[in-house]
Amino acid sequence: MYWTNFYNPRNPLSDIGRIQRDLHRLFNEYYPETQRAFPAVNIWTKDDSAVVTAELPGFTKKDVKLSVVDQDVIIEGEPVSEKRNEKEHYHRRERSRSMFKRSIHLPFPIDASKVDARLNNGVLVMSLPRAEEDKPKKIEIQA
Amino acid sequence: MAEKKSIQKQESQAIEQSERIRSGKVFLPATDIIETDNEIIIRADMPGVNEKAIDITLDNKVLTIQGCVDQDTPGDYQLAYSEYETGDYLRKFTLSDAIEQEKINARYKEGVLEVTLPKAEKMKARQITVTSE
Repeated sequence: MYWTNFYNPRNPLSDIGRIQRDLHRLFNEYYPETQRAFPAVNIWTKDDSAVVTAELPGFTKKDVKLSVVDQDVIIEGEPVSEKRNEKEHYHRRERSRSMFKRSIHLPFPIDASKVDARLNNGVLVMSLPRAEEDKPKKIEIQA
Repeated sequence: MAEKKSIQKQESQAIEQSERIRSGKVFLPATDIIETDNEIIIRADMPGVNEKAIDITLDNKVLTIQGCVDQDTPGDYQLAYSEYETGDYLRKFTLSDAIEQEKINARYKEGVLEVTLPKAEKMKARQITVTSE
């Protein structure tokens, strides 16, 4: 049979992995857009807190909603429409102006009451302290 | 540990013949260009730029928009995951004659630069009626 040439009896799943990789590559080539989650984020961490930054040009703080659920931060937003005129005509339209919702998983649970978020010049910076009960406890050896 | 995903921003390539003094990457800001009856509006996404670090020049019909980003990485944190890079912005557009160059107006708000270029009077669309004899 044709496929037996490729079939590896020691690891029958390797074929599936290969197919998945090939498909992934194919889709990435033709539809790179589908891989993009909006907004793009950077995550910075240290032992007891994390900083998440995202670029949200054109969004005001009223347009963006943030929530924290245990280990996840959810960013969602809807842009206010820029004034539209019936007679206007677009030569280029490269900026994304759509609704978004994105959840970001962090390495530790967050103390939601101590989160600090700022949106300045289109950049969102959230500082997310690790929940007190999740922090490692130092244990003294008694004897 | 830092994982990298595809970079969303497009890097500005060979846009300048001369090299820049400032190191770091330069990106092409995503831009909308809108034309109305009286003006052309350019809206460019330039997040992370301070208003004062924006430079707009018009030289020989070439409009250059430039913005320098303050690279402030949070204190003693480690970058754990990265989807975008930060850098300066630079983009050039060649304008047609039809612009009232003295009346160009620019403002920066929430990371978006908006440049309004009023059309010159003589180029505004005029209705011409055909009359029959």
